[in-house]
Amino acid sequence: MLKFLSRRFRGGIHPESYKNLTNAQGIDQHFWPRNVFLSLQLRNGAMLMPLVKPGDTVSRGQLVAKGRNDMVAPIHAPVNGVVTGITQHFSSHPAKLKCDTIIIRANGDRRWGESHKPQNYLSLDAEEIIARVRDAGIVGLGGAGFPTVAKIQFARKGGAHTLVINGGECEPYLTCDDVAMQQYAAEVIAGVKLLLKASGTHKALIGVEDNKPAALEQLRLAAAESDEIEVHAAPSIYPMGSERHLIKYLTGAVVPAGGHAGMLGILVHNIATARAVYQAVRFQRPLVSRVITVSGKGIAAPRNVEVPIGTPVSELLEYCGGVSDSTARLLFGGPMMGQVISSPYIPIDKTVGGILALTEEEVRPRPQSECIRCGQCVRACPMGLMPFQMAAYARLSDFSKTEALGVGHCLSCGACSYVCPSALPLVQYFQFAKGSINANRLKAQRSATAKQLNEERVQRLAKEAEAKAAAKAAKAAARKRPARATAQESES
Amino acid sequence: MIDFEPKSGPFAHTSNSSNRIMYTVVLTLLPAALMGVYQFGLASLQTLLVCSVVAIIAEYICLKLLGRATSACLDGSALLTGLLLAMSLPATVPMWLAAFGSVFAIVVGKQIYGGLGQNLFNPAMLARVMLLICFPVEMTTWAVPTPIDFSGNQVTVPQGWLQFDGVTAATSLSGLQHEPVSLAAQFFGSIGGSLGETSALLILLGGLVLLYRRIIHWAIPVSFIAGLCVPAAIAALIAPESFASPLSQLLSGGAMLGAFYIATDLVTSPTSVRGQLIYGAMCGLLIWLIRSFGNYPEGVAFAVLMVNAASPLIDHYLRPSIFGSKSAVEKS
Amino acid sequence: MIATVIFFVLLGAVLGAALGYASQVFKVESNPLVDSIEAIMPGGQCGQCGVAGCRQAAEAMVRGELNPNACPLGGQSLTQQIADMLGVSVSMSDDDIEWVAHIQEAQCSGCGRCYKACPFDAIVGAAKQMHTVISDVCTGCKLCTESCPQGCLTMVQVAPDTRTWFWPKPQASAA
Repeated sequence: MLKFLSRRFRGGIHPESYKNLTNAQGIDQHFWPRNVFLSLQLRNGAMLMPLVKPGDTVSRGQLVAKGRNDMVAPIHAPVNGVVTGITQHFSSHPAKLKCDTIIIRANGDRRWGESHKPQNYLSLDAEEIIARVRDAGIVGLGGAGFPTVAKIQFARKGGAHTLVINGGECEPYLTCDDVAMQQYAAEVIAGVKLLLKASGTHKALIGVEDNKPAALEQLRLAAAESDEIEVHAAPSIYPMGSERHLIKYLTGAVVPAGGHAGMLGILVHNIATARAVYQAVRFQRPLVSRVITVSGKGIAAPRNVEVPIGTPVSELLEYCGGVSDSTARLLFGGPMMGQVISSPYIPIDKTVGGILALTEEEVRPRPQSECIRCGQCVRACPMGLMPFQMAAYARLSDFSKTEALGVGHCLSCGACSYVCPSALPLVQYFQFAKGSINANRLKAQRSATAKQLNEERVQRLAKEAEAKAAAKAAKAAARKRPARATAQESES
Repeated sequence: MIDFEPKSGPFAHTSNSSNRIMYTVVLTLLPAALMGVYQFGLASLQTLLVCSVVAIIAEYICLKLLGRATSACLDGSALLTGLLLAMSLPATVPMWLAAFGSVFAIVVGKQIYGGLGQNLFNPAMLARVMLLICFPVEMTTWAVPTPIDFSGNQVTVPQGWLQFDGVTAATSLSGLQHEPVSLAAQFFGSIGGSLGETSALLILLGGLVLLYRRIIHWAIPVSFIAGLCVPAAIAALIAPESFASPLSQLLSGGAMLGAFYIATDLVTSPTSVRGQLIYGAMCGLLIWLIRSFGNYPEGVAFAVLMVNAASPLIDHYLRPSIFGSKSAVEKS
Repeated sequence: MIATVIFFVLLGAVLGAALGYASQVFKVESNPLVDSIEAIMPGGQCGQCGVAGCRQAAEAMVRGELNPNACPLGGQSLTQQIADMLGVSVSMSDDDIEWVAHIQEAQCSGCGRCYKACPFDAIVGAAKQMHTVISDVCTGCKLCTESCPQGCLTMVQVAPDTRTWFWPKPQASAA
């Protein structure tokens, strides 16, 4: 116990959790959408190619779009129905950006298009597990949305030894992982075993915050016979669910600043991802739905719902009894790192773990005032940064100073904004600084390319001019030469 | 109404606000201030009111001239500055002097730096030092306690309590060699001295409330007291006849007020824990040096101003180390 | 006395000669700062800064006649780099509008004039064929706009997409 005390990280906050709104009920599996909208551009900008055309009939689980490589997870039809169009529609982006979207009108049929007999999945070898995870289009369900297959393959190549399963779920309100662990602990543990085998790691550490005693108990029961899987309770401090901080707590190792977990031989996956892996490998079911927490005081009947990917927010809210008039904000994800839902017609993508309707009382909008240098943000920052100084430089658009202070290490966890008594939009200052630094870097790259192109062009033009001059000279010479040649001939 | 405008998170906040912090500090200061009134009579009440009200008016005028929202003059920061200044003055200073100090604190100590959060020096201490240098006679004429007597069957209000110009004499530190003052008297506050600095007990209680509410961090008071008491203890062991004991150092003058309210001023102190430890220790040590070897009997204001000047430097060099990095960030 | 005077006169003469010689031997043809600034400029010679070319612009910046933020192609990153080199501070404009050339392909006659005008080879197309802009390479220098006889080549603002959008700077407090 003392060993663990020393592994706590510095900083962090204790926001009110509101988890009791939804953590005692089972997962509601009765929801079915009327239409689904599948964005063909992922949050990181990668594009997918549609494999269907308007008018096609699709069945649940059918592959409908794929990317160029393993770094882009394919998309499957989450429902049975008809493709009604492939047009521009809102993506889940906060700035209401649109992208090409496959729209499917669903019928009430919930059967899978193809059903595979459950197999003795534990006898599959690593290659086969990886292939099934790839074909199922699984991405990290914790929020980052990185393709799971790519992570497994990096870990294999890098010789990772430890698998960390993140059941932190430190965001207030969210309980989708909690209830999944309570209800499907055996599936989670089976998924962990498959991940261990696929990634070549020897040991799995499951970290769950100690405010989920029921989930911890179920996991411990399910993992009782597996020596290679350990279940640990972690203290409930936001952001315990951050990869770096959970790793520090579970293993004592510290991910180097600017580095990633793979450098320590550690592979991190989310609880929900482990369960999706189990579904994909055992039943060959692609990732077409996920458990989502619908909560907040603006929701009439908060609960966890199994939702087909692509469902528009409005349909899900309607299903949960609609939102009250006092609702001030709709959010994807938790209140700390979640994103504003800028239109109710935005579809839910694979990375969304929660939809919150927060009332003014919960959001507590406050007037912004001057920074009083109270240092609360410095003590709250789990990364050891000086938020108030970085924000001051970002405000002046002095990005080199902001970067020198370490804005690149910021997790955007929001702990600083949470504690700030002056209600400064610290996180937005850092997002702005990070975005600007990135844009400047791209611009610098582009100008370097442009410069090179220009130099090449100048050289080419010079060469062309030279060649032209040479050709001219040759022509001129040729015009003279025949005369001279005949003269010479006549002389000889 | 649902707000769909994109805004960056988080969408959860503490109920804490800058105003609330300021007013909490003011509230915790009040017992010690009222103790001053009990001790020194109506003259001290007058000083308290003049300093506070003038500070708020000066803030209002500055904000108006700068074209900022004038409602900010009631954010508690100007009131706090005025109150702290009043508490560090002798109870019987003339009204004009208190008012002048207050205006100086707000205008020169705070607003010319750019207002709230921008000032380098503690405005109240800046004003106090200015007054001490410009008006040494008025500033070292200390009131003699003429407390209301609650001990008998009837409450007796002494004549001096009601006088606006009070009864004056020298304070403990300058009179150290002449007559010993009991530590108990210093602890409870039945001694002469600045208006609000006499009762160490009430200041300690107020400070503990601030610590409990996490408005101030333990690092500054602890290192401040250590920085003052450790050298004092060593010196008192070596030469007890020429140096005051550590406890007497701590309880006399403005040391307690300095440790909990003045050195911990949020704006002018460093933010990282390591920085605060160094800052507090430097401050305590300087106070001891000034008291023991300097020309002035009291050094809290001077010491605080000196470490205030070092505070940006401390913040620059003693950043917390970034999670996962071997050392602190590359110094820019 | 006289010896001292002679000594110092001689010393002065020797040192002066040495300095004069050194200035001849180590003569710098041009200010190295100009070279290093020119090296980081886009090199399109587009003249949008109001000076004939990039070299001249670099010279003007070193002389202090041209603001480091004068080059619209380089954007903030270039401005910052130049300001750092010159040791001056500049105010950054927050709206760094990016332009890119766009050809309305239906109207393009394939005359090839825009192709010749582009200093960065960002326009492709053969003679008598439709031309198009490689927008990833286009710097927005606007040199091609005048060249199109059809008037179908225009500059458009780059709309942010998922990759390039980022949070704007928060509004300063009302107080």
